[in-house]
Amino acid sequence: MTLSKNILVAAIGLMFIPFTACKKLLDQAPINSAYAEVFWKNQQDAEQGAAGAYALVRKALTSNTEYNQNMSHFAYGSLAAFEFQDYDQYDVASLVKGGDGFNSADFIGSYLEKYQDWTPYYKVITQANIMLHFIPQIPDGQFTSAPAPTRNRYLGEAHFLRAFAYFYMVRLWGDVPLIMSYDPDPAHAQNIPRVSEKIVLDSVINDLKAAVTLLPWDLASVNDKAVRATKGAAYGLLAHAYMWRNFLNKGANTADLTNAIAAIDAVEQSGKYILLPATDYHKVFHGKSAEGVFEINMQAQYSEQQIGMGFYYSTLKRPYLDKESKLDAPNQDLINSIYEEEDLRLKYFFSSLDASNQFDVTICKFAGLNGENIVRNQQSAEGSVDANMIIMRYADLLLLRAEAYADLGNTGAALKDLNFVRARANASTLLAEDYGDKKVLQEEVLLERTRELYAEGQRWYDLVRTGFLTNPDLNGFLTFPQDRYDAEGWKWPVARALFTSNNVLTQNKFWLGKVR
Amino acid sequence: MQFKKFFIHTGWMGLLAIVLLASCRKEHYLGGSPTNAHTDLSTYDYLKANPLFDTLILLIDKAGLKEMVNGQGTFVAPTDYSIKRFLNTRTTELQKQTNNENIKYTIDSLKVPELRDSLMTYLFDAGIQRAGLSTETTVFKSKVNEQFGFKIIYAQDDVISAGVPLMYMSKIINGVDPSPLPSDFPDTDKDKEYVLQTTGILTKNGVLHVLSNAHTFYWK
Amino acid sequence: MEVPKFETVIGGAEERQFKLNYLKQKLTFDQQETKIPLLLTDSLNPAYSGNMDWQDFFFRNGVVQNYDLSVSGATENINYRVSGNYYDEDGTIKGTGYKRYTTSAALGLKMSQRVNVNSLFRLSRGDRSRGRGQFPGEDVIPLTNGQYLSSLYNLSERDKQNLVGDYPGSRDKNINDDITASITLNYDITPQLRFASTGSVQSSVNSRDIFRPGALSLLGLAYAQSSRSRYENLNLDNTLSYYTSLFNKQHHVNVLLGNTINNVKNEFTGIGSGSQGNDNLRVVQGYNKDYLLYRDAYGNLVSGSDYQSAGMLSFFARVNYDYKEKYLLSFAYRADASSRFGRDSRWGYFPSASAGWNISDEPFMQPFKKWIDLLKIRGSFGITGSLPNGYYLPFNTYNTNQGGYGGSSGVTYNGVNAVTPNFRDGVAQAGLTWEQAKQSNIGIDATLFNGRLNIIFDAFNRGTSRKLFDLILPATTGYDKVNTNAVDIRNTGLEFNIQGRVMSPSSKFQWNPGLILSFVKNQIVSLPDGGRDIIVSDDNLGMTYILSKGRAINEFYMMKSLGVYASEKDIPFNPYTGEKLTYWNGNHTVQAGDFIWVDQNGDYDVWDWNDKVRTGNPNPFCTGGLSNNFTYGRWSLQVYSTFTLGRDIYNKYMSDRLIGMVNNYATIAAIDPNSIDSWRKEGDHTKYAEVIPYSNKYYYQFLPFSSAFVENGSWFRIKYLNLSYMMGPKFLERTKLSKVQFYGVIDNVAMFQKSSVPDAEAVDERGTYNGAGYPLPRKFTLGVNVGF
Repeated sequence: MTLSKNILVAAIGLMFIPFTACKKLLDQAPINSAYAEVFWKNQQDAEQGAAGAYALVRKALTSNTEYNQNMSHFAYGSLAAFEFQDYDQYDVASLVKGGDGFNSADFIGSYLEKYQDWTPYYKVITQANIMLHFIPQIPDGQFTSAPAPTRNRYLGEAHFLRAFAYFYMVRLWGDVPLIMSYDPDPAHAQNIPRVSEKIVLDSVINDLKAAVTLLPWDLASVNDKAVRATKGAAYGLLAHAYMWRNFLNKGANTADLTNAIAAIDAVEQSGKYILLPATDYHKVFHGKSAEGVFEINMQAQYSEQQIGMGFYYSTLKRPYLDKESKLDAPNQDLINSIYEEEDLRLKYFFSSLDASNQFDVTICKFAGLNGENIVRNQQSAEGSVDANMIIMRYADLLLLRAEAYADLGNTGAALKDLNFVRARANASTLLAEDYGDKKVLQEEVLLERTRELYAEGQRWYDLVRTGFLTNPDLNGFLTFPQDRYDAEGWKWPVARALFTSNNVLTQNKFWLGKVR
Repeated sequence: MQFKKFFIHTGWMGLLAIVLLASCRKEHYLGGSPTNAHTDLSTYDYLKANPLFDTLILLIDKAGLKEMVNGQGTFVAPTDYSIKRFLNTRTTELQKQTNNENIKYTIDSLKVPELRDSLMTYLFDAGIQRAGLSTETTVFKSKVNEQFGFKIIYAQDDVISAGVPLMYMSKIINGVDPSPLPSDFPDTDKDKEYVLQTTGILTKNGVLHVLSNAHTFYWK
Repeated sequence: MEVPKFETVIGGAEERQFKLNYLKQKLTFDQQETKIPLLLTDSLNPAYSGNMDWQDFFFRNGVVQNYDLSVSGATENINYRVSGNYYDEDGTIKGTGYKRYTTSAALGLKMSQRVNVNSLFRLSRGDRSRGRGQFPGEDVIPLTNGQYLSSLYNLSERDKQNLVGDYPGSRDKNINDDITASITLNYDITPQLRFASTGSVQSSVNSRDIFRPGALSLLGLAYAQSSRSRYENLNLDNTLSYYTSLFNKQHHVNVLLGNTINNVKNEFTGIGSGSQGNDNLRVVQGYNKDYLLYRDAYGNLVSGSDYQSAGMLSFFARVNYDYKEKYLLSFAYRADASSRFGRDSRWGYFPSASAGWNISDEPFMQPFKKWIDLLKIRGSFGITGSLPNGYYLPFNTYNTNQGGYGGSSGVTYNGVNAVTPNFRDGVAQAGLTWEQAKQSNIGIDATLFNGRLNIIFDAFNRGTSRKLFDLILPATTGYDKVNTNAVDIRNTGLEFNIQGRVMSPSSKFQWNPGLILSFVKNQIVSLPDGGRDIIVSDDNLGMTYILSKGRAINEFYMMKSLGVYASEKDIPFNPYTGEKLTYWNGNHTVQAGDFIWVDQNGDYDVWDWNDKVRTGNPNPFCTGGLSNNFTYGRWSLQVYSTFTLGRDIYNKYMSDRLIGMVNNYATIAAIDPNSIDSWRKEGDHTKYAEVIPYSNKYYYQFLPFSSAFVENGSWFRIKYLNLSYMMGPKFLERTKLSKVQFYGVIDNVAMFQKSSVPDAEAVDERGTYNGAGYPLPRKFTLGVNVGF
């Protein structure tokens, strides 16, 4: 009897196990990944989240078509801008040589669908929104460095990157959907329509103004120079944004020009940036130099360089890299017409300029004239390029200020900036009496930006902003039709894939009916 | 009696099994003959039988080299495509020279002595076969004393793990090119290299190889 | 085990000649300059002068062996059964096979009159050889475009050994160790009240050790991998049952209460890395960061460790009531909670009820008793639930090491580990819950003619509401998709199970046929987002399916093809521009020999962006099985067949073959092009468009996006044939055995099908045949059952 009684007790005991073990059994959280409820709790989370945001920017700027070249930033900014005569790759060749009835900048060429898709930029924006929502909630005690400035820095970076993503999209597509706050329930999110580019640009400027107040001039770690946002980067982007807004308003509001000039003045007066001597051009492109204002890290130090693909790899040839293919033919006519003979940039930016085969001409500025930025190791036997993607540098900002001064008619100030940059390259000094005509001065600024920033992914935006896209004399005698420019055909079409399951989206009017 | 029945039953089972196992198998692999290196034809006859070489045959006839082609040794044959490319190049040069767009350089325009030398440079006294070659360049002299290098390069292949051994022939200019090629090596000194698209045919008289269609006749 | 049906190919020198002739016929003079590959021209190259019969090389008749031994016994208080089994099956592909050792023991103990304990242990080790499988994802047989390779490849001895997994120095061990143990306690508290509790544990460990020597790679790079994955399942079931009869034993009530606790766990540890060490070292010792294989081609983890776990808690109650065993009623109720759902939607409640009426027991059925033995009508209604595959779906997961981008596999940004939300599929819905199926059915069971005819009939309606589905999210959220309860599907149908005994019981020859039939109609009841059509793309196969409200699930969604244009004059042209119809956004002008694709939107261009329609339903109309048992004295013969009728399948195998013939003609096996119904000359009416190898008029016409490859997927297969003979009592007495039976079995006897695919049964659940699965061989087994 006792035996069975004992067993009965044990059995009833077994029955009650479920009620006590309940909690642990049913509340199982993953340990093989972080998740929203446990992340964003301390400074390390914030630092890694910020690194995640930059990594998303890097992915967006190196997005790919089908041909594994991963170089969208340069495809957008350089290939359609007449910096190349030919590019022997099926998909992006249509940007250089045209097709489908276009002489160049054929944005609906086959296989370019991924470049028409703005999805990667919204990942940056979502990450920035998440950072802006959660980082303020991190308690002071969880910061290992001084809480207030560190927190501000991360918030400033979030504002900067969000502004950067929207600015980038506005220049390519014009109107884009605007999301400025964190969405706690993305699973039930609805499609939102496109918002006017002017409103988006206004929010970009607001974000950058916030970033300017929050970000420091210098960062604690020297290793972070230029590859993480600083006050200088925010001012620089702000200047670019003002200049673009000026373009959208067709010059109606000169306040934008003076604001741009003021932003760059602030950068100059901080004393944090200099122009490196021409012999050190390779250091500028290697990155994290005293001339860099904002760059995307692609250095070999942490194995973050592109191996076997990417713009730098694709445009280099022997002897810089041990590869057979010669994909690009830089625009020799343009190069020969814009540089003076003594201009050091001819020496440091290009090699084999006199080659008979146009494909042998090499843009060697990123690799360094003597291959200073080439690394060879087990992973990359052919060689890979140890150079950052330069988004903004000091020379770029000075020349932008020159453009603003030229637009305002201030010849003296414009020439001062032009000559300062030219002096570094040993080019002759420009004289004020030659530049009485405002148009001529503006053309010179554009040409100087072309000379200095060749193949850095800037020229397309310069040509659109100044309107010189349609001027064959400034483009090596190549043309972009005026009627297409007037009909906003310089904007990219919106990818077809974005229209599936989305009936509030509209296409850019030039491309209506053309996108396949 | 029981055992007899037992064995009878087992026998039936076995029979059943065998019949089922030996079900008819269709013939699924047709042909399957090995490839033979030897042919009974002479080199000249072999080339004549293949439409890929009819222009080459015309040139050999015009130059009167039939006997030499049928001699002992190795002949590395260029194809019609190579000759066509050569004629096109000569045509362009001639048109530039004479400033006449309609003039054409044809087989008739070739002069016999030059043609003889051009063709004889593809003929070798030595028997050049795969077994005697390696990944290092081996130099042979053609019948007009020009130097040519032969070597084997292993091409990567998904199926053949050791790589496919392709035979390459190169016209040596200013000495054999060093390997690996230094980056500042002048273009004019580089040897012209082409893959051999067919190798190792043993005709009645000698060895026959065929150059790639990308080659231009007379190493232009 | 017999080799499967082979493909007829041409090989050796004849293949080369055939292919060269074919190419000279089909290509222009200019194309022939560059398009004929060295594989065909360099006939005497030692690598290309082969004569390789790939099918014969890989396939073999395999032997299956199975040995079973079991011992059982019982005393008053103890009963036991111990058994061992050894099973060895040679795979029909050389180098593959399955070996398994199993031992199990069952023990029953009667501890007292009221208590007994049963326990069961089972251990098994299975060894699955993988042939040459090296990296996960590498095919067992090398194929290009789903086709065998050309016979001209002359493989070295080393390559041949490697392909069948025989290369000395290679190592590929794939072992599964399983342990299952359970213990059950039964306690009869009173004769009517019983308590039972069962605890069980199952642990499966899979060990994979691979070494591929550097000698097999052109670069001399070896590969070594060692991985262990473990699955553990812990379960505890408690039940309390009570049986009573009330009111003079005519009403019977049976009550069951119970609960279950369950936890499953998945763990993985592994490392796989290339190395340039010495081929004598066949394990992983140190690794080179540059060659580390982090994930395989399918995204499965190779190097690293992982841990996942999920738990479930259930309570259930069931009451059965019957009156005179004539009227039957049953109610059941379940409440289940799983850790896979968020806190607020964890619990699912699943009631069900059923009733039955034994009509044949009624007095008014007495006159029919002669021929109706049993007639019962029953009906039921219930809700069942099922779990999603993922363990952590309610969590918005974050990914670390996100610094990689095109051309770089570094995980950091400027040296800092980049962490972002899992934008691909990591957004979770807090409200995710059980996938529910409401099911109701009515059935009739009948036994007629003295047990000569048994009929079981069911009509059912099964709706799965809130089926889990991947929904694409707006690009502006940053997230790609969300796995959510989204789609409601209803399956309605009829099922028949008819068994008969044809001969009278006294006859020596007996024939017992049986037929099972199932008719199911599948319909989507509701879709999210206002019921709009959802288009599902399978990127691996390149196929597209559509889900529409009111229609069956997974219909093919592609361009409609009506055959091939026999001649130029059949091709339509745009009356406004006078230009002929084009394909591929104007890139290709249609000509004779092209597919007839239907232009749906009237723009005189046909391409899969705008011109897709529904072109086929892969859900079968009827499935079933037909069995026939014959006995004559001690002989018995069982024949079992299965069939499926009324479905559309997609012959992607043919699509791949035609793509292979256009793009890789030289490198794939030489099949006679005349065996393919493709267009050759003006006036031909054929099924497939013109096939020109290395064509420069290629416009991707053979991609799996047109209905040209939709075929009737009905089939009938004689699946199983078993002939056995039982030895008689006299023999048994002589040999002192209790039972001896000889048998022979053939599996996969014959197949009858309408479609031209190799095997119409081997299609995936969406009806696509892609020819990549392991072939279904015909198996012959001979065996003997001996009882001591």
